[in-house]
Amino acid sequence: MCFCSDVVVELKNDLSICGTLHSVDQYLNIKLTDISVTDPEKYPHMLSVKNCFIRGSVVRYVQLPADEVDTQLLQDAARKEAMQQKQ
Amino acid sequence: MNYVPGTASLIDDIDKKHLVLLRDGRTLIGYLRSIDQFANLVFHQTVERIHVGKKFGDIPRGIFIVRGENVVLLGEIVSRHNLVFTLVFEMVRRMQSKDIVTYISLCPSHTALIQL
Repeated sequence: MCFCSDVVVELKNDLSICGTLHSVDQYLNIKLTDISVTDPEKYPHMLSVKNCFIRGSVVRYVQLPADEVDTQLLQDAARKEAMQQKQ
Repeated sequence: MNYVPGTASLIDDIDKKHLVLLRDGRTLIGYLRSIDQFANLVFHQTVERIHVGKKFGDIPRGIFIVRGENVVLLGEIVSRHNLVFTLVFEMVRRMQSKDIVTYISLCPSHTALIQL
């Protein structure tokens, strides 16, 4: 099992990709840089790929390092968003 | 995919060689020529790569239009030749930056390595 400095994106096809989060868009499409495939290298064709674009619709999970997330701030922001949505 | 800076966009990937993984498990490699907001892609000089263990075979496919919903992942392929060239250049640069000058003198009877 290998862990990345940034995120691990688990896809619906069970492929897990380690990488640095570069950017995200409104569809939650993800761009990762310096990628590596975690778990067994069952996918040899990814060797020459360093950066990738992942379509939001195929993402199952995005694993973030716990210490990099300010959960309190996140909770407050989510609460504010929910209030705005209600109005 | 819009033009707001900082958001994920495929605009900079156009005309570059890419590998696309499709939902049915296929791998296509080609030059990305066109994109849209659904991640529909137009590939040029496409090749379908089939892997068997460590070996692979390429089937030339021409021009491909991939419907966005079938796209799993799109990755830029960095040409291996460029990498090799960069590596050699790096080695030479490192040698240049060092103050150690190495002379190798060859004699019929012995080989001497002199460092200044």
